[in-house]
Amino acid sequence: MRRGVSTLLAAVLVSAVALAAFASLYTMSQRRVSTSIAGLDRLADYVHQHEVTRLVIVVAGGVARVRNLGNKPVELEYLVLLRSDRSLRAVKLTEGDPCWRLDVDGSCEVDLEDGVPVVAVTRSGIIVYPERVELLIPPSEAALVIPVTFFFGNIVEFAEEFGVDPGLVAKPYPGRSDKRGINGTTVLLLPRGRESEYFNELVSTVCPGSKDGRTPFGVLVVGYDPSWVIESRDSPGRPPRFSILFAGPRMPGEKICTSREALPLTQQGFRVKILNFTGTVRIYDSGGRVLACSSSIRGECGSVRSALGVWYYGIGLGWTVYFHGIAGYFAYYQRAPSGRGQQASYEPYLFLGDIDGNGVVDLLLVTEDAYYGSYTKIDDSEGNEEDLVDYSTEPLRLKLLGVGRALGYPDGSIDGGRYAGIFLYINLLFHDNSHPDEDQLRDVDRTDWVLRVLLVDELGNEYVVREYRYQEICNYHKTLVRDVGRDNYFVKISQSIYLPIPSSGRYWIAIELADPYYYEKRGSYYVNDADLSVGIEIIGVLPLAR
Amino acid sequence: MRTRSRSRLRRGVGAAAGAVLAIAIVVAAALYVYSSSLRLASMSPEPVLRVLDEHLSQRVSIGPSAFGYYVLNSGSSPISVEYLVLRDPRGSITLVRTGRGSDSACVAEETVIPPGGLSTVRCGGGLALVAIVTSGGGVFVRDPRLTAPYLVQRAVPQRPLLTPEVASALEQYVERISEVRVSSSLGLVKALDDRGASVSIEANASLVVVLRSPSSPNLWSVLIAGYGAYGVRSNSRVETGSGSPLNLSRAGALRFRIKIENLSVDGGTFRVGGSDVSSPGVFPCVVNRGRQCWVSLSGTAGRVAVYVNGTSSSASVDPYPYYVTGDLDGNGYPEFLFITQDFGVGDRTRVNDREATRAGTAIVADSTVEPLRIVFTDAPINNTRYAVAVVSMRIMFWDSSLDDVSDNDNRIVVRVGVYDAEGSGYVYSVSLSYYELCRYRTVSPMTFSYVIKDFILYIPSPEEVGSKIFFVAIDVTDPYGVEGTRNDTEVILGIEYIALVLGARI
Repeated sequence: MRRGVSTLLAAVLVSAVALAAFASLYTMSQRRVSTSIAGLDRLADYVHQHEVTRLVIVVAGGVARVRNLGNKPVELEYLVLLRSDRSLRAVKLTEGDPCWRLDVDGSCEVDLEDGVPVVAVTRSGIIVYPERVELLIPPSEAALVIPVTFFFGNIVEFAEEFGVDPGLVAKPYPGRSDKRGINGTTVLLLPRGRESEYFNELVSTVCPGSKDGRTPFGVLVVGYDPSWVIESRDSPGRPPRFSILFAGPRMPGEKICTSREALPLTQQGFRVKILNFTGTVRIYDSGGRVLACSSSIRGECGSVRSALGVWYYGIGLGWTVYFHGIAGYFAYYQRAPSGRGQQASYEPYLFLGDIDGNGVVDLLLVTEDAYYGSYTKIDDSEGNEEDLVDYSTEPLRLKLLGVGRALGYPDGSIDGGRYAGIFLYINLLFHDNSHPDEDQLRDVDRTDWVLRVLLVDELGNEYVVREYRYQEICNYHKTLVRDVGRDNYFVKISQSIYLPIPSSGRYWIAIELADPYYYEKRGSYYVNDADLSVGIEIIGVLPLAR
Repeated sequence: MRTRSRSRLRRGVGAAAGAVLAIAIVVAAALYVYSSSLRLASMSPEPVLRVLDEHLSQRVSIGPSAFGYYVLNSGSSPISVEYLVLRDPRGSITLVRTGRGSDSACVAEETVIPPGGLSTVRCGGGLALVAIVTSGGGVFVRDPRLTAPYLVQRAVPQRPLLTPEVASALEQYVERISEVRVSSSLGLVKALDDRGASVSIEANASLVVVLRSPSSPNLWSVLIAGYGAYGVRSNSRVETGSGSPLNLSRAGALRFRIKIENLSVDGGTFRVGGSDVSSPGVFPCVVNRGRQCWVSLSGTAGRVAVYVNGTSSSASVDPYPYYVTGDLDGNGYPEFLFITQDFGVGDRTRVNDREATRAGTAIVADSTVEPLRIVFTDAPINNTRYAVAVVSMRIMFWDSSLDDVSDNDNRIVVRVGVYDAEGSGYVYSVSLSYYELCRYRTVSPMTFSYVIKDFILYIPSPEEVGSKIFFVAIDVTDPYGVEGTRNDTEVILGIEYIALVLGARI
């Protein structure tokens, strides 16, 4: 019994020893495992710290700039500099040294004479090998030039993109007070209920009973329709569609026709806007010869010059127009006496289309309707009794929101703290109806602007930067052209404008267009009565960093 | 006794067996625990490797673009951008979930980016993108190499196009120069063309233009216009090393033009109107004084060409005697001067370039048949990389119409544009017309002012026209011959320092 007990005791003892041995073996192995995991953690942590601690050395000019491109601030303890004699020198940084603490995107400068930093040691012991970037500027390398263009299908989209006051481009339905911007002796309105707007409708100068299927015109603007221009940027080769603005005085007996009815051009004056037009436009001279022709139908025009462009004073020169085709949209504006608060908006006066066929959409403001004149008469009238003079009651303001957006501000503003100035390069066009050109300064002697560039701040304060006054810009155009093809009403004028930006605050760049002239009777003369065409094709914006 | 000992033995065996069993159980249990713990340790790297593998197969470049930041997946597996690490203007860092709506702080164009794909991240309110976190937990920070160039302020790079090198080899840059013609109511024919010869000139001149050669400031570029049948000094002649003297009073009685390139007068003479020529200039003898001046010149020249009036009244000639390149204003940049002016001035009632000589009346209305087109082929413009170009140039203009726009219609004199040399011509251009240019000069006495013009040029995108290489090109024209007594102006047009700034396609 005692022996049995002792055997059991021995067995327990042996198993206890074995258990202890295994236990110690187990715990030892566990310790090794945990030791290695802890080491891995530290390694991973180091690697992570190393990974997120991104320093870059930008060598430009006489200094090497150490910049923290990582995602958290870095505190440096040592910087190792490679000196020009190829020796290395470790510099211990102390609090107050510019390189001691680098915030995210923060930087400090090291004079290249002291050496180029090659290694940095953070206070947490991370050794960082900064990437070195040499800045060599190759010739013809690109700058940031933000293009501002007018690739918009219609006035509504355009107005939205440029933050135009909706009242200034509201359709001029009668009796509504929300439309503003343009006034005159008579104003262009869209009489609702009198079938003045059509969609997907045939529109033609060929009317039942018309003798030659053509009609005289005052001013005619023909361009490629913006929707077609935009479309052909992605899929070229489709038959062109056109955008047409057609203005004139009272023309008894003349009419244009839709599929359902004839619209007599017998009011005190009219305008027709034909958008997204698939068909043919032909312009004839006084002898009935084709001056110009453009068509959606291939081969329709032969080798005749293109009808794209602006055609002035057809009625005085005996020129006529033929058009026939389907319009996506067609509006027939009629003149009605102004007064009782009855104004028009800019909508009938704005044209979007590519008028020179270079693939870029032009924006035009055209207040000219039919006639030219000098100081002896009201320019846009036949004999001073019925005038077609239009003038701005407030300017049409276009905010260049795309510029601020391109620079990272969704509200379209520019941060004066970051940008010292802006260079604007504008291709514009101008034409007026004061003729002869030699007398235009006598006819228009009030110095007033027709296009200007300004900055607007957050409170709405305006800072005018550059004004193009009539007396400057009138020199660039020729009012009356008979020798089509060789003589020119205008060419695009390239202008560069520097806009200094105040050093704090946010600013919007705005361009304003206006026709400042109604008319002024001076004795038997009529002066300051020009109507005009002013347009913009493209604006290039070069921001200058502060 | 036997049974007792047997039973004792059995009891001992039983205890030993129990002990062995107990030890075996303990050892088995310990072994199991040990081995399972070992297995645990040996298995743990696998998920690490998987993460590592995923991490290695994902490569992302983040860099700034004009509209914010681009995130380029340059790895081999798709990534899903889960979070954006942003820094606000105060410098603090926030982690935000990637949004696509316009109300989020930053808008990512695409959140899932296939290999090779690119997404744009736009941030408002001064937020800067520091890093992105993918759905797999990968963290990618901005690439310093891509970011750094944007962080250093630098000048806008501008490339001069009309360099001295281009100006001294201009013929190589004029498109189809052998086909370009200048037409005249009294045509010129080439009488002499010598290279590397001595030259001696004694002649009447109506207009002399002296420039410093683009090849060397010690050499001259000279253009002399005049007529030989003139007053007492009717012995105008030009002589070069190669042959007998050319009698300009006879051969060029009604008109002549002499063009000299790289003229050295070291030890020789160079006098216009009795004064030594020591600096560049335009000598408008007839325009300013109403009569010709005497030019006396001797030296050696790189090239001398003499053109004289032909026999047919109306003819065309190559453009060589109508242009000259070199520095006129001493600023070190060569001008390209295009000159159709020969004699005097006029207005809408009379022909401008007309002289009554002893040999008869010379009407020398010159005009370009087609533009003289200079294509700057040294500076190719790739439309996949550039969206707009700004071409800046310094120009001077003079013309011979006293009554400006009354005498001439509004025709295009200079055209600048983006040019497709392989067929389609100008894809975008702007122009300078007479109505603008005539404001920059006084007709008589001759003065002109330099103006600087910047032209913004649109470069059609690859979507519109395919991937193309374009060039900047300039058309120079004199669009005025003579129509009755109008549209007959003659020009001196100078263009200097044409320079190009390219705007990146973004």
